[in-house]
Amino acid sequence: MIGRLFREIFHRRLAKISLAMILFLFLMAGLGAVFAPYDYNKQEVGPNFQGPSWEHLCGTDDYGRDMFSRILGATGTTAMVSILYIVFGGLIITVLLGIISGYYGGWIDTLIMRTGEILYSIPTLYLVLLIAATLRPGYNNFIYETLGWQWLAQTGFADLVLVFGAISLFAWVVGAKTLRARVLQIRELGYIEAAKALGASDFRIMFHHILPNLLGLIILSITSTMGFVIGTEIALSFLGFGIRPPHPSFGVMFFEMQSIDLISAHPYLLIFPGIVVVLWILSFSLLRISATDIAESRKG
Amino acid sequence: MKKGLIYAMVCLVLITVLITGLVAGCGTKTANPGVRSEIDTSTIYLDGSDPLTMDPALTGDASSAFYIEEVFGGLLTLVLVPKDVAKEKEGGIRYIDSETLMQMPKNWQQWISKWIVQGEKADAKVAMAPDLCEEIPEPIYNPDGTVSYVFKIRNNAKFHDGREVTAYDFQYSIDRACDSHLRPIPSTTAELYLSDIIEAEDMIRGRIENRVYREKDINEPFDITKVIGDIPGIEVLDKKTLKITIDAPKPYFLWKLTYPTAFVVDKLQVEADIQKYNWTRRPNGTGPFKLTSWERRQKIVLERNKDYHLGMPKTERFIVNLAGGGSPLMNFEENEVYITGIGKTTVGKVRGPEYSSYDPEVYDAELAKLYIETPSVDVYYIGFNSRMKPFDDMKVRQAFAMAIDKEKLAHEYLMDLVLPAHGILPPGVAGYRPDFKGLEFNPDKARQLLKESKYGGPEGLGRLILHVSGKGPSDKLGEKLTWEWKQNLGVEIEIEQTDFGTYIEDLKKGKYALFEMGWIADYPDAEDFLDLKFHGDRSVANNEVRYNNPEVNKLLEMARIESNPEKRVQLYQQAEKIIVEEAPWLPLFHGKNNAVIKPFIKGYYSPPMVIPILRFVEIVK
Repeated sequence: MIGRLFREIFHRRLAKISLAMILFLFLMAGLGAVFAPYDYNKQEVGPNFQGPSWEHLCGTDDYGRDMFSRILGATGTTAMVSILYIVFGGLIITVLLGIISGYYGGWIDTLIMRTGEILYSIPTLYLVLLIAATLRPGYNNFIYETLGWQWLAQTGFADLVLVFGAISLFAWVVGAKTLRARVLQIRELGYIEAAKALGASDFRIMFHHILPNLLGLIILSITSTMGFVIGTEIALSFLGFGIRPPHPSFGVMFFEMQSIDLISAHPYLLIFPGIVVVLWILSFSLLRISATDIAESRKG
Repeated sequence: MKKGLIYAMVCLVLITVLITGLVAGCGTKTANPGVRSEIDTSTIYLDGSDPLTMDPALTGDASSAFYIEEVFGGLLTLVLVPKDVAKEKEGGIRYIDSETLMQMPKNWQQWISKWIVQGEKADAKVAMAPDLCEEIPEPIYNPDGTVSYVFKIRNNAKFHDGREVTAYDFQYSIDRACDSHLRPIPSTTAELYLSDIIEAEDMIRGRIENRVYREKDINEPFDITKVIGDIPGIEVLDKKTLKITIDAPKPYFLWKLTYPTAFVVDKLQVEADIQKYNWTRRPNGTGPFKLTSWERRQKIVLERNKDYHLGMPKTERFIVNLAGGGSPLMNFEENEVYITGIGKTTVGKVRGPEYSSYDPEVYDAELAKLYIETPSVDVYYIGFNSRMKPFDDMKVRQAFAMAIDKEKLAHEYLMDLVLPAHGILPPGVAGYRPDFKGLEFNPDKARQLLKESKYGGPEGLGRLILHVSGKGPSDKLGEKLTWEWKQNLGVEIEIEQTDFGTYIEDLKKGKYALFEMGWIADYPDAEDFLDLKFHGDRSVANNEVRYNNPEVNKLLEMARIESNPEKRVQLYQQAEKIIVEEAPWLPLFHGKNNAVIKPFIKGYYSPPMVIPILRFVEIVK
């Protein structure tokens, strides 16, 4: 099944391009963590408000911080949130809930789906905001005092976990529904019954027989929500409830650029981060388009 | 199809980039401050922020005080006059009499023109003036050591609804401000401004019951003379005569009556809906303006009080834009507001060739002509709560204080929009010393102190959070400071930003160990800074850093009753020296008022502290 997936991707130009873009961005993030020219938070590495130059590829901000390093750092944050979401929110939560509710049906199905619908009907950004805002102090105290993991909070990782955790609570709904629908179809197929008759456990049936058929849909559901995930992280950080300074995030950078007077005097402060954010969201959107294509072509 | 899709996507990205660039680039318009024929002379538009409260008894911050001073009034008020026009009372208190006050609208414009020309050397001084009383009374020294002032209320003093103001109204208002059961919350400012009055302190602390109102009064026909006063220090001699007695000869006491806590409110209005507390949305005050409309975060409308006893204000109405956001300077250039502030992002436009930061590409000569800088008598500081770790160790506080380069902060980072502060007292207050050194910037010594402290160095300090007020994730000043502390001390500090209203509440409950704050003078006296913020008896709501030094307390108490102005200043300077050395605060800078004003606005001069000023402002085409 996986082999077929790769072949599908290989034949589609859009899929290749979007995957390449995503890979490039993740590479930027990873290399940035190691090879950034300056510490993203180090102030006064150059004169304030310099435009782009060979020394500072994207200029400096009003604290004298190198914008290129800050963009690399912020890309890293977005990459982290993306990975965390893909693994936990996308693969684990969405897939698990979708398969379980589709396979078992009955009250488990009703419970999961109805809960999802309730959560989904509330404007998601507000709810995520509410959760992030109210949980944060307690959560921070927990990390610091109870667990004693200061380094976690200090590197900003704790904030990241809070952000993607809050987002994951809601982003699974649509994906789980789609997967569930497909699972309902597959469940009735002949070979599933055969496997049951041969004594395969539920677990084996779900993950060995059903799951491989869902790969296309899974990729589709993940890429569909990535735009929302990235956008929400930026929005949360912009409002002060996500990643907080000095840790880099595009939301924080956009907040600092808020004044129109600032932008009109130094447009490069907005253009470069803006381009990178557009690339992030665009690449996942393109991937979603080709994923739709792939998923649909395999339905038959 | 696929090919076309790729091209479409590429075009989309390019267009996005183009649009962003265009929006950014086209943001600037050339300033056109010329007079437009559609300017309506009856209305002036300003920028402002929502008041936290419109109840004078609860006012403690400058944004609320701005409106309160225009809508309400008290026995005395503050004015700005040339130095040679003011007279001096004992204790060095500047004042003017009623006649000079009534002449002010005539003389105001020529005074301002002189001050604008004088620039930094403007001889504008804040002086006391009789608002609702006829003249500032002389003190009466009673044989038991107390001092009384007898105020005659003006005959033409009226509330906005026409009801005349009586001495009973003042008795009611001041008792109310001291009420420890005041709804919705007891006043935290009463102890600062009213506690000198005989037994007012007892009522504030709940030792005397306030019988000023009872639920049943509301159903009886309203008769202000039936008001029961429980503070012996406030006595109604007759309907228009009020006697206030304080516990000792304190020349600065009269200044306190110029502050909102001592202003008069209308008992009938306040008690009409005690449960709902809605009266502040349409208050029946005595000031030059009426608050006729208040849409939170949208706008406030102030309409002039035609019967104002000091003279009708020159302009019919002021509309204050509360919405913020966008670009204040762009609003100014489009005539949406007529006065606005200049900050870090816009100061380049008004700094001409005489400044080292001059940038001919950004400089806007037309706008620069409209720019006025006036001093503000205030101090911005970082507070260290001495009852919370790790700031209970003086060495830690001193280390933090010595790790910030204030000169660089003021000159480079804040581009000379402010003055670096080495002490607490700002210029404009007697006692300010321009060459006062305080704790100098010395990162090596700072690191040393940190090691010598009982925490042994940066690792032992635990989790540190710098609290700041505002919206969003970051406070620019906070980021700069935490970076400096990291560089110079090796300390990691998080920043937590809260909106102003909540921030003030939490600060006044003593929740913050490390915080950013500012204090602007209520009146031009060192007592307002040193006694109100550092005396050990002050509640945590006012002495947020919980500073308590018996030697300093003694100096402050001696200064309270010292009548010789020079000796008094010396006492305050001694106290200031000790305070600065023990570092409960890290004073950062003294602010300035930086504003651009439309040329057709006459009579506006940014005052050095919050005083009523709008009645002199008008549009002249």
